[in-house]
Amino acid sequence: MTWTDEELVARSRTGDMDSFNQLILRWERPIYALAYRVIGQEEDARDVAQETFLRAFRALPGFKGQAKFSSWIYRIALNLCRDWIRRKRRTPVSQMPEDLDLSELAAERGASESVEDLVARRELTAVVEEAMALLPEEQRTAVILKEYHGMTFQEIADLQGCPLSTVKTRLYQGLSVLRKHLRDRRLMPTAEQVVRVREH
Amino acid sequence: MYKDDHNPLNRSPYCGDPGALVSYLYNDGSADELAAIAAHVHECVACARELAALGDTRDVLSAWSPPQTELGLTLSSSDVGPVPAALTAPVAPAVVSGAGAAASVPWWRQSTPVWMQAVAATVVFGAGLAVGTSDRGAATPAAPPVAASTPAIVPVSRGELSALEKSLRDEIARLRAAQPAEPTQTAARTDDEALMRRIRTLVSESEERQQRELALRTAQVMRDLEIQRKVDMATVQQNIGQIQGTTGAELKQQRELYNLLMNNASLRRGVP
Repeated sequence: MTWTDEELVARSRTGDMDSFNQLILRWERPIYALAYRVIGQEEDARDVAQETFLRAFRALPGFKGQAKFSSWIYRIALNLCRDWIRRKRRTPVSQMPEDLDLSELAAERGASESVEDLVARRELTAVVEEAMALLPEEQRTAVILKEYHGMTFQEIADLQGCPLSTVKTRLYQGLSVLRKHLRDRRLMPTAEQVVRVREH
Repeated sequence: MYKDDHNPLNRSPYCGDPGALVSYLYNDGSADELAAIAAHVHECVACARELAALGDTRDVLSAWSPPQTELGLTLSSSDVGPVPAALTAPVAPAVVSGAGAAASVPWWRQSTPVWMQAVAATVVFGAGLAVGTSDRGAATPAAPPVAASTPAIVPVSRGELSALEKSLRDEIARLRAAQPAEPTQTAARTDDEALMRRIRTLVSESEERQQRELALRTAQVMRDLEIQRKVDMATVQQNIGQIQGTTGAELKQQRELYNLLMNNASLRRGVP
């Protein structure tokens, strides 16, 4: 039987650690992915994810179900990410090394993926991480929540504590900066190139 | 902001509006609003171009994913420390906690603590001992049966009572000392599970390392082959170039020689 989040939360509130661990199993990957994309450090993202669930368990008595469990836990994770950024006092940087690590490269390779494709994908990932690091924290968070976690504008506005129009502006500005960086790195055609292709 | 080539005569409120563009891009908005934006995008080249560029950006972003590391995040009682009071399950109120705790549960449904059971057992034993003593004392057959059936009250000294109390207290202390065995067993089970998890993790890590090593060697061989291929191709091209150069030079020499011979022959024949 698959328990809903609300049912697992109710069981966890009685001190049932197994139920809470089921919640962790369900949400650890999205929370880790969020933390990794926001702060850009693999090990620190893992620590943030662990701390998120620890704080969530301790705060369960105060969680009355007024919001979705996922929204609540995302808020905890984002607050921790924000604390991490302020503590480190630097924007997150990509951890892609200058030289490709072939062992990691080989580990990621799919069954039908050539080495050249894998190298291209790794380079693309590096450029995207580099571009994301250029964004201010609010824009980066808005892009990540919308692009990778499928949240609505309203959900993002609630999480970030800002109006709906602000979320849309952040998204637009974030995507524009990313687009420019990707074009500069030749991962996307320039506007002139697009026009020329269309004219032909 | 994007290029300002939107038609100024376009009276649509959505033209060039970043909020409208992202709403349409992510299909997040009311049905009426999205339909109005769609109608405008269909007519406005600049907005359509801008949306296409944003869409291309999203396509590139979709390729970004975090490392697929094994997370294995779990919480145990040692991680959370003292469990918040609101999360502890309500336990049956013990009699020793006082009348207040017992007031909510009828006395005949309360669990009997061990020391009370020990006292009751001692009282029953003492009563039985007294009965047995009185029976032995009344050994003459002439004694009336009624007198034999009523147990005589055996006087108990203060020292015997103190000794009984001391033995009961010792028994209670021994029983309480034996109770922590259960959490120890639970902790042992938890340790075994953690050990098994660790073993499984080590085995999978070892397998991953072997796979990575094999893939690394394969990648290195392929890279070496590619490099060698390129070197060979460059050498071949260079050789071809040299051959072409040599051939051309020889052809030129032969042509010059031929022209010279033709000129000489013409001169001898007196042809200008």
